[in-house]
Amino acid sequence: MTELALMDNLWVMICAVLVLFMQGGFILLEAGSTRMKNAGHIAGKTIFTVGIASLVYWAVGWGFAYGEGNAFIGLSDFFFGDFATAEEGLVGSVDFFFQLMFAAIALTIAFGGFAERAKLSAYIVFAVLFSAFVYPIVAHWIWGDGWLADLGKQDFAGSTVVHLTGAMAALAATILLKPRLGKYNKDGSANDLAGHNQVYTALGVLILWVGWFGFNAGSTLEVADAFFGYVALNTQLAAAAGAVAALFIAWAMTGKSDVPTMLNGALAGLVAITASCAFVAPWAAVVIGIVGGLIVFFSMKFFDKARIDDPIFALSVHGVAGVWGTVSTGFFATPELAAMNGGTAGLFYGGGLSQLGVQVLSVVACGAFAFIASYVLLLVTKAVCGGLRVSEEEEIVGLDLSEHGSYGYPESMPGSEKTGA
Amino acid sequence: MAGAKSYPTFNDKEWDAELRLLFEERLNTIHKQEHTSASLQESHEQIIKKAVCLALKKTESEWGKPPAHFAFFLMGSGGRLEQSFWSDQDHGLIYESSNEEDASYFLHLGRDIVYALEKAGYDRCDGNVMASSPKWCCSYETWEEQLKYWLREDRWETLRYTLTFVDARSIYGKHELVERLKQATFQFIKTQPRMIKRLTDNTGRLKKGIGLFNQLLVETKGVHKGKFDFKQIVLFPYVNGLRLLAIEQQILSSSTVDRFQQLPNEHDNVKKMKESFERLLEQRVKWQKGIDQYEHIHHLTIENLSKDEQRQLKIWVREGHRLYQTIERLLKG
Repeated sequence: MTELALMDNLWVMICAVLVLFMQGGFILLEAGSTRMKNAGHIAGKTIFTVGIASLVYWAVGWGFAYGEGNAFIGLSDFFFGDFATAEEGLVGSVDFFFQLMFAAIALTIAFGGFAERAKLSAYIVFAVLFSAFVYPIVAHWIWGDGWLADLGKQDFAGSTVVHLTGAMAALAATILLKPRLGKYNKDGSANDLAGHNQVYTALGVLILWVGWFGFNAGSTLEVADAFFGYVALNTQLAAAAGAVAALFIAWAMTGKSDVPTMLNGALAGLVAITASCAFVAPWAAVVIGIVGGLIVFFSMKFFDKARIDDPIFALSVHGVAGVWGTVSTGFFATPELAAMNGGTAGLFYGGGLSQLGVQVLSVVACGAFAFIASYVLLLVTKAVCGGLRVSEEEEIVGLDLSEHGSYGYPESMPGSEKTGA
Repeated sequence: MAGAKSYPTFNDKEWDAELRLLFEERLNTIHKQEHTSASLQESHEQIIKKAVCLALKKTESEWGKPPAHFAFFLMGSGGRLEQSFWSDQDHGLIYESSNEEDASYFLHLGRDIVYALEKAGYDRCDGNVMASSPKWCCSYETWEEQLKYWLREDRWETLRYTLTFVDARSIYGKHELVERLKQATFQFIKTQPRMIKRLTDNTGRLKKGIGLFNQLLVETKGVHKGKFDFKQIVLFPYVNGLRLLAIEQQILSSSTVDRFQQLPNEHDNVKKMKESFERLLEQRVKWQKGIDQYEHIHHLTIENLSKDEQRQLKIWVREGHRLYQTIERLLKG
């Protein structure tokens, strides 16, 4: 193995660990955005569903995504165990490890739609089905030998593959699960079921932000020419612009500089730039981040009004911003960067509508597939588990107690002061 | 109440029956009639006075005649003659005695008044600013000491109590007691020039009502989500500003309109906003008609207002905020 290839492998390995660490960001983000009585559950489920995703992706997911097959699905390399070395490029196991982390992230995003009301058994069954039949198919279409890859679709690190796919599953879940108790009044107006710890949420966003350099810059899959630095630059600019834009729009529209909205703005900037980070100029990364930060604010309002309860804002942050990010390369991809990384230049660089068309097509196709497949698989899950949602009483006492038998914050819960004396 | 004597002249049954009738009267005179802001104040005044008389009758039936002269006064919107269709209780009591037994008498009277007013449809005050609380039911001497203490203590809460008292308006008993106490307080403030600055700080936080895109800002959280906080955003800048000027100018009147009126001509730039404020009070009566709960009375549904009404509301928001800032500059130098 050449020294350069070794460095490539080492770089991608480090990035894979950074992406795994993003789960820590999700734990804090989700726990902080939900109520105390569900905190232990929501933190703990992230760990075991990463476990399920790993086992399933190893068994069949990788094979469906990257195995030899047709334009729609891969059909080889199940139960991955390739220990062969390679003279150039990534060895199979490093590649597998990196890709697995993306699959796990998509699953965690999907579970955003489950928050505070889904049964534990539903998490388990759907984790298996999503990791086997939803994420790998979309990954195959765009990153494997699938039909969208053939069309020159640009999705550098997964605005569509990871974020939109996860968000569509979250949408299907939140529609089937229906809103949390107390979220909506009889007249249709929404209540604010505020998360219990904004500090956790902010720290979660920062950890995600750090991990995102593994996600985006690692997606170079090599260290040659240190292009990862450019990708990191665009990533940083979009996240920054997203945070500032969301803070601004929240203040301008409501008079309050809402902290959760600002945090979602940073994430929306990150999600949006994920597709385009290797294709656009830094000024465009700023614009993409700003638009991400602005649309996430309106999207949060929209879902609230539409009576779609999205406790952790997965639909707005990963779905809406994911769509925007994917489509954005159709506008902003520069000819030089497109030549380096695939596809053609965007509309603003004389590329006409062709790349934009491919981007829109991929969003529609992947979004529709992920939604429909998830919806059907959730119905299967519902049948297997005897329902997706915990009982009213269990939801009221909280999933910490009802699903796991102990509270995440035992001292802070009603009745905890009783000593039995 | 354990140990209390019950006289046949006004037993509990009669007392409750009278209060039920009073509530009926309230519904008829306040809620089932068209009102101007002034007529609404008169109707409230009648109901509140009747409630106080009934409470006094009840206390007298158990404890005998009042042992000293006293004044029962309203504060808050009642004190300022700015009540809406529903309002909560803010009131206090001053009596001319420093006897401890007499203190018990008046506290008991205060409790009966609170009960009567509650039955007449006035919610209890969350902050316990009521004549049933020893803080708001004291002898004249104690009141005087307490007000000086509040001012000297110079904490946010104690200054807020002082500002609350400044809106006091006696409606029953020896009105002069309240006036004397106010005068003494104003004098005390006059001797400490920095005090007026501290009081100005106390009400200095103006709630934003108009956003960057010239839109009216509504609540983003809580039970009033989506509604416009009329009291805090529109009413309070005028009310708080004029109260501060009243303190500085030693104007005893508690109504904001009277305070406008009684300002000396040197404050012409403030005085000229009186008509606008009067129109605001009238418009508020129209907007709040039909709201059937105290909890919701101060929050407007913007969608129910016409474009012209929304435009006018914005004019008031801007004018009120400018007015408060002008007064703030004037008093803080």
